[in-house]
Amino acid sequence: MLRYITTRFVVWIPSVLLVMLGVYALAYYGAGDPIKLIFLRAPGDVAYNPERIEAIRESAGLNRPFLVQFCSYIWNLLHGNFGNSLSSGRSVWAMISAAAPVSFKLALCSVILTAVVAIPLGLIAALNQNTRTDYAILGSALFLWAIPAYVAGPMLMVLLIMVLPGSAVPYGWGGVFDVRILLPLLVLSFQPIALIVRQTRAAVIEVLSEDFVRTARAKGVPETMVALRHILRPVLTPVVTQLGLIMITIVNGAIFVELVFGLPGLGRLTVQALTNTDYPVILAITLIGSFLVMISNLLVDVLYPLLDPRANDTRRSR
Amino acid sequence: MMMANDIRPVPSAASERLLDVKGLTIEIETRNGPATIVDGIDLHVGKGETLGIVGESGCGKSLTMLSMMRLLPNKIRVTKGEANFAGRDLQKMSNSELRKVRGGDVGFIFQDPMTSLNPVMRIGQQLAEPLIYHRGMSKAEARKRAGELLKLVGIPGAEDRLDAYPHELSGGMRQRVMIAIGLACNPQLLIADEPTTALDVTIQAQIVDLVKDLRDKLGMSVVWITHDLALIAGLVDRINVLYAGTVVEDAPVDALFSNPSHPYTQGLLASIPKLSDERSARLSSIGGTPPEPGRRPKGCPFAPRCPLAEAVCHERVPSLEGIGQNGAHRVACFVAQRKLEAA
Repeated sequence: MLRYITTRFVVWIPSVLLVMLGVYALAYYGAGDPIKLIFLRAPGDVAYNPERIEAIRESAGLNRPFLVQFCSYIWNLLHGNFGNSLSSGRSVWAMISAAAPVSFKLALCSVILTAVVAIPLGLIAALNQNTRTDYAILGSALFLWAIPAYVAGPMLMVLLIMVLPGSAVPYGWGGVFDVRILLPLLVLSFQPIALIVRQTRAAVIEVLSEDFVRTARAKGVPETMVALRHILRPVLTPVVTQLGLIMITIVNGAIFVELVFGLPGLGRLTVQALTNTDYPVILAITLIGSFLVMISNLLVDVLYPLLDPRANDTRRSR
Repeated sequence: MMMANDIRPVPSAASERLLDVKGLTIEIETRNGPATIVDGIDLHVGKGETLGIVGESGCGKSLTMLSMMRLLPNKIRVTKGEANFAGRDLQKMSNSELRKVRGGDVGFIFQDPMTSLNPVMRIGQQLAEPLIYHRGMSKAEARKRAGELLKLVGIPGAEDRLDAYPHELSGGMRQRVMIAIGLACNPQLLIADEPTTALDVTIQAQIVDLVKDLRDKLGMSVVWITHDLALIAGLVDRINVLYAGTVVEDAPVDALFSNPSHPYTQGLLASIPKLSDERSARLSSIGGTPPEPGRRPKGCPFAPRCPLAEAVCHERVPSLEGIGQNGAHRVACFVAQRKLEAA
């Protein structure tokens, strides 16, 4: 197992280097000079002085050739130095380590909410296939699926502030146990819930026609236990994989929700970095995102045999 | 194994009926409304008796036994008739009452051991379930009993196998596990739904012998559903031949083989290839296919394929009448019944 994990890690390194080279090239050759931007945005009394710009550019090492800059960036990275932000001058690592936990906590809460709400609903819908219950659940899921976050977010905010007076303004971050997390959490979870409801329902319907479900009934197992032990268990494997993917998506950039609800997470950091062409920050976020995808794929691979004992054998024989 | 069979008293026809199915009609919902698949079938199994149900695929063999226990999808339904088990009508039972019968008094073995066991559950747990739900055993007790059951069905290293998953066992071993599950609560009746169809020929014989052995040891009744007449010849006491959802011949096993009376039964027996046949000889088969549900002919359902069919066969449906063995040998065929009267 250790060897397997090491292999995965070694394979990950060249692919992430390639991704970073691409991002670096885009930032370097793409639009916008970060130093000029600083001056353009500065208050009026700062003179637009080409010599000063050149001086700052030189001190930041931005006048060197592309590959030299890239290699020195990687070299620093290997020493644990993510560099400093071009726009604020703060340490990139400090910025990331302040923003990442917010996104991570938000994503974790959203995934838990999704699992708790969507898996039972999907199961209930499938067990009552083509009845009113089924149509009601499917219809609601379709409704949630159809509302984009940039509609649901502001609408819910308006509802809360205008229609329900006295409730707290849902803006800002106060941790997982703060009331203000509720609204962004809901908006973030709408589409995942819709997705998981439909996926669970489809998977359960497929398992329902399996012979082993008939065997369970022929043994006289009560219907609830048939559903929970025999039907749900094989369904969980693909659903858990999907939940992992949802988690990554949210961590990497719940851009809109974080902006609307004023959450200091990675999504908001990304937008700020992009508008300022702040490439040390952009690169660091890319690196983190890629690392998360790798780790979660690895996690799914490691967890898979626990969910489906057959997976273990195929891996061993490979 | 032969010894056990010789000692076992052959249950007489008059013995008390454990399962008595009367006029059971089964319909399936289709796009064009309900279609009848099984039309008023009658069959019965005596206490300790072994009944073979034989017929082509799609003739309603499994369907009758499974829908009687409400084990089929909702769109397949029993609409008329009764199925009395130990004096109680299964059709009138509530779902929870029926649940107590399934796996408790009636055990099942299914066709495909590859798919009939839950792939993500250890076999010890799967075996323990009926014991926990019917006998109220604790997990530890059930596990101990599960080990004994695996030993009973002849699985080597039984106790170590409790923690195995189904994919770690061979097909024959899996079917033994299925049998152990079916027998877990010492049922009065074991329903075996083509349990050997998915297995190698050598394993088939082993499974038949195993069930025979266990039946003699535990004294239960068995219904063995198959399309393979030869396989069950040494196992069953009586055979019901099914065609298009009705019993066309009901006979003690010896009488059926020595004096097959329904043209369909004769066709079935003739289509078993014999080693003594010439290599160039064509295999015998019954021409045509069984009628689709909802498209039954007016008269005898077999008449369109029958070599002996007469005008009356296309007009009226023959009923099951006794033709010998003191009424124990019955056949639903005008031609066969007339032959007997003439003799």
